[in-house]
Amino acid sequence: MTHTRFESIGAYLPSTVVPTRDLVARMKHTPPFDLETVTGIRRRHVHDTTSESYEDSFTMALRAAGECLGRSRYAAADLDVIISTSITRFRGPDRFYFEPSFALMLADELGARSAIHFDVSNACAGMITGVQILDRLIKAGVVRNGMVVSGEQITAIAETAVREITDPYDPQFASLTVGDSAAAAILDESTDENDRIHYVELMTCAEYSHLCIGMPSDANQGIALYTDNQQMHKEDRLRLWPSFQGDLLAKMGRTFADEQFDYVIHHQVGTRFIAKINRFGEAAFGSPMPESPAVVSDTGNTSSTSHFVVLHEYLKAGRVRPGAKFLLVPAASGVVTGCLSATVSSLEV
Amino acid sequence: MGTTIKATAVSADPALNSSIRHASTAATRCLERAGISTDQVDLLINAGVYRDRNMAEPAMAALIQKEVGINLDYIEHPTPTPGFSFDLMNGACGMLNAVQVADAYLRSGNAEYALVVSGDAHPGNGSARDKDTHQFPYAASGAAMLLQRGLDTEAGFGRVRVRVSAGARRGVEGYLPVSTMGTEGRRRITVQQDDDYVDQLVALAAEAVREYVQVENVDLTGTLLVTSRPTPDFAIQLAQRLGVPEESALTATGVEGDPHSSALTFAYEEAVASGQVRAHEQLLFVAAGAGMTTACALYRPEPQS
Repeated sequence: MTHTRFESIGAYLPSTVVPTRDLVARMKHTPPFDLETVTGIRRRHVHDTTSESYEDSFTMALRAAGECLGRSRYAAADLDVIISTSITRFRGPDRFYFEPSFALMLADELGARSAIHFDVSNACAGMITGVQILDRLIKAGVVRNGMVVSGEQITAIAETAVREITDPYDPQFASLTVGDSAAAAILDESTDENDRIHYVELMTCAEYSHLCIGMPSDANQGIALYTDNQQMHKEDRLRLWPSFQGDLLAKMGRTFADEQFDYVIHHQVGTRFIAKINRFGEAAFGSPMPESPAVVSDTGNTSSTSHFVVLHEYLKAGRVRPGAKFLLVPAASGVVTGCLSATVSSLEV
Repeated sequence: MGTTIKATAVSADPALNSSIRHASTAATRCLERAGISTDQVDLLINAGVYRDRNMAEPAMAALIQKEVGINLDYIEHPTPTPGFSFDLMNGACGMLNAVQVADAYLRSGNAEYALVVSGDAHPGNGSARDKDTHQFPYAASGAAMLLQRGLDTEAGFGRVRVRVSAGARRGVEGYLPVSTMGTEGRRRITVQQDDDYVDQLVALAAEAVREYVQVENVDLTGTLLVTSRPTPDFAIQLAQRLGVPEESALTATGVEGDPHSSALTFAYEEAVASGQVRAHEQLLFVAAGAGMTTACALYRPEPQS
């Protein structure tokens, strides 16, 4: 049976940094709690808005794709498929695109004109969804390799939240936690079990699809995100991941402890969220959780790129050893959860 | 070959005016026709492009999945293969990309049934006659196609091939004008098409068909071309350009306007209803749009029992 692996990774964080206290200082109605303490987020990167070096979802995606290709054995023209998974498809200050696909425009710019291309939208599970699709396309022999890429000018929702939040229970509070970024990953066939995506399994529990909606504001000109945080992070929602992965492992005749993960990377919602979901994992699996690499304090929640930004930053800093086994756990609007298990040996940053 | 169409359904009731409701109505009808329960759907892919209220999150697929009732809550109702869904967008070609992806899940043993849905509507959902509503070229409509791993090795979808025109022309651009939308962002959308967009698409689609039949070794004789519908006469124009009889090409006619991401399913249903699928050995799906992009895929129906 064919397996796939992460062949290369790239990421981009804009150079402009906004501390949480500066963001909060701009709010008309200052929250009665300390946002930095509650979320553990000290700062986030924000796209450049000057006309001479304007950054948007598209330009940031290109940067990450370029870095990813720079370390890959493949040139852009060798890519069989490009899957763009941005939630925010801003290109220029005036447009949020629906067609043509971002993937086509990225393929054009990168010089991958013969590649199959399409956009995938699956909220913060976008890149992991793209990786699953690419894994299946390679396994089915449709393509030999491909790139999953996402650029997120997601701080557009924070701008709206700063203007519109009026009370501590405002559904836009989660919007203050996001940061801009881009990430890209190239996958190809694995020939070595020490360099392999072992499985990537996902599910959507649609009962809760209405709990987190991103759309234009009707109070100001801007894009907003409305989240029912209380319902979204209820215990039963947090139990979805360990229930799903536990059942999956049981079918394989394995336990969480058998998996011997070195690291578990969670969606970068906040430091308390990561600690909490790990507690749920420990309780459900009856096994201690491995170390959880996190960058959320310095990047905020980067939405669809979050797991790959963490992986990239930790590889760059030499904080994870080559050949380590990772578990990536998405937590996204939809509600989407699941698990990606991979031994990562070839990635160098 | 392998992945076959188990059932299809479409939705074009003008009273709906919502991409989510069109897609979910078609999906529910499609599962009923197939006699498949919601628990049996492993994968739901939504190929719709234009969204209710211009929602960017969650995936419209999740909202459609909820309406249809697939994998609502795994804790309350665990199933052996809980459903998963996402949006896949590539204009009118997205439908065939979704088939391509669904086929990969089915063939790699990761799904038994995959439901490809689609739905487009003006984001204002008919709540107001916005100034840009009349310029919106797509029909409010939705469709669903249930795919399964075929039993007959000769039957099913062949390779999906994509072709992009040379040069950076986009032909069509659909976007939310974020710097001028004011507080009307949930009800605004701009779709700009080049004046010669359709002519260019016909030419590109013809090139794509010629390339497909050559590379995949397909005889166009006895093949029914099932096309998307950028204009009502697109199929006829394509047939003329290819030099094949006009009756060997058809597009959706049962809906006012261009059903965009749902067009191929509409056309296929009409071909089944009119007996043309039965009369032909094979079909060639031809999608054109998505910014000077085409996608083609051969389909051999399962032998009638």
